[in-house]
Amino acid sequence: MKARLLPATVLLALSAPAAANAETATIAMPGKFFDPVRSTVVAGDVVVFRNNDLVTHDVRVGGGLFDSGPILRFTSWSQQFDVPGSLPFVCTLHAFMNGNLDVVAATLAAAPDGVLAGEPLELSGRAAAGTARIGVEQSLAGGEWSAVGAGAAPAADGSFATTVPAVEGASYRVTTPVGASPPVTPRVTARVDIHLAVERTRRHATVRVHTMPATTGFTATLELYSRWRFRWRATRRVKLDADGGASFRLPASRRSFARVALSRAPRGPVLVRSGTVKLRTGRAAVDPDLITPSPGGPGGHGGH
Amino acid sequence: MRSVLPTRRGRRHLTRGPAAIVLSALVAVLGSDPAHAATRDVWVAAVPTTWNAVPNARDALHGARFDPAATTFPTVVYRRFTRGWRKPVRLAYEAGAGAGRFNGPLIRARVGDKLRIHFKNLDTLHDQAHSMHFHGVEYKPSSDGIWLPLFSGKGGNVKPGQSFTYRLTAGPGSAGFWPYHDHSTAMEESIAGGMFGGLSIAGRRERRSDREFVVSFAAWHGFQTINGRAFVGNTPVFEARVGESVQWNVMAMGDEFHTFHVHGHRWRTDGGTPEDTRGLGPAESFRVRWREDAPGTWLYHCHVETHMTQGMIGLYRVKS
Repeated sequence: MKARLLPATVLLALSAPAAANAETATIAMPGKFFDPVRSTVVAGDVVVFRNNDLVTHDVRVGGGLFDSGPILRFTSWSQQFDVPGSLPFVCTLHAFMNGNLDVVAATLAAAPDGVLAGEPLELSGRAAAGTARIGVEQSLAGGEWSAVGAGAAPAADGSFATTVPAVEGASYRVTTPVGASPPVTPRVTARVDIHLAVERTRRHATVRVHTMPATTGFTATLELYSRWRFRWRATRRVKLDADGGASFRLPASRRSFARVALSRAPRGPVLVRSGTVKLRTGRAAVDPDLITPSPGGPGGHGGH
Repeated sequence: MRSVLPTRRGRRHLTRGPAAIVLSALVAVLGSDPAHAATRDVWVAAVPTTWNAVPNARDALHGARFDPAATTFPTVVYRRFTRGWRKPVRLAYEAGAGAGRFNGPLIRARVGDKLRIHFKNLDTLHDQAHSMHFHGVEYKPSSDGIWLPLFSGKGGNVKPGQSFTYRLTAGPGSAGFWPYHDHSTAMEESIAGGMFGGLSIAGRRERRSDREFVVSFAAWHGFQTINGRAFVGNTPVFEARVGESVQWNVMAMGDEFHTFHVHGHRWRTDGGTPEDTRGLGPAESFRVRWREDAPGTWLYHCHVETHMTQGMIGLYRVKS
């Protein structure tokens, strides 16, 4: 493609329906190098190669799939990339100037990092503008890909966000009409065990909490059972220390059942709860909320 | 008489001005008599709220569980406000009595008192006219709070956004516990929704009990409720200590009869007969009193068994 055709090319690219909301990425040539050297764009995006250097450059993409022709100093060349693939590019006038463009069906990121199994995992990214629907697939330990969740309808610019329950060791990708995104493998902790111990002195009962693995920075909420209200009540919150531990000091006279709820942030959704202990003895107990008047005495499960 | 009683506008006025010394001496004389009649201003509004009859989501006695979506509904109730309906307020004695949240404010007075009930209709839920009609006290027809074409005034049909002041007198026959409720054209559904409350009127020289409880029996969205709540743990947990005098203010609203029963306790009728269960029908009310001598956790409930199993039961905790 010759330099004088450039304006028409840009117009064409921008007037195509798929490009109505397409993103534009810029790769600059501030000297005898490309900046950035590696780029990732979504299929349908337009890439502008901008020559900020004092001399003429050109760009040959994908071994001749696209050729810019000479790009005079302080001018640019634009090209829309519709097909996913990894495309190396080079300046034929200065062969040491090279880089790589990854054209993907969709970008994908998972948050938060270090999620607990079962916790909501947010998958977000961007597909080609105008994509009506994306699907989410999951692969366990490098196995087959299978659909998970309901997928999502991206916005007009192709951006999407969807939530799936986090699974330990799972990789995720999204599928679009032009292919699948590169997979992401978020760090997921299988399960957290919360151990409670009650230490008693004459004046105090101290509930010591220990998490395995240590969930430092998470919030531990002490819940006490209200005997007259027949319900658990959150009483105090503390941040777990560097060892994933915490302690709550109560008056020794407190006669109740205790348990601890773990959340990522104060007042956030409860990720896991400890078993129930009796404050007076420190021994594991049946969750009093599960005591039913079934024949044969108190029933229910909920202790350790 | 407790300090949490409604403000006495008349007396406060007396303490101002250049003749304050003489007047405050007069106030001291008058104030030394606990039976001196007062004018009490009470600010009440009909307000929309979202109410959950079973906040712990269970019937702990029978092991049943409930979805909050099936126990929570929007409704309109009476709420006490500060002067000029500036903000809602629940007085300390109302919290202890289990009143003032679903059932309206517990309005206290003494025989001889004048009551000015300033009512404002803030019903934005149904956008209906409402009123307040009081049992047990004296008033002119203009303060009857009823809707009667050609007869009733504004007080029987207070439109949304409007207000009305009911002027009542606690007469010689007013000592006791009495209900009040909506008596506008919307009364059937608004009473079913919770627009009722109680007046607790002490005798002229009567000493108030250390503890005062309110038990309002009424059906609500298929539950049999006490003060708008169903099942133990949700209904009021009343508390007292051995040696204290307690007064139970009991009333019923709706279409059904109820029998009030407290475990481990007896009281005497006006004729002196001991009893531990007393029946009452719609808009009937009574108060019973005793000096507490039975430590422990006790049940109180309606002894119509189907009502009891549909939620009309609560706990009474007596500390030694």
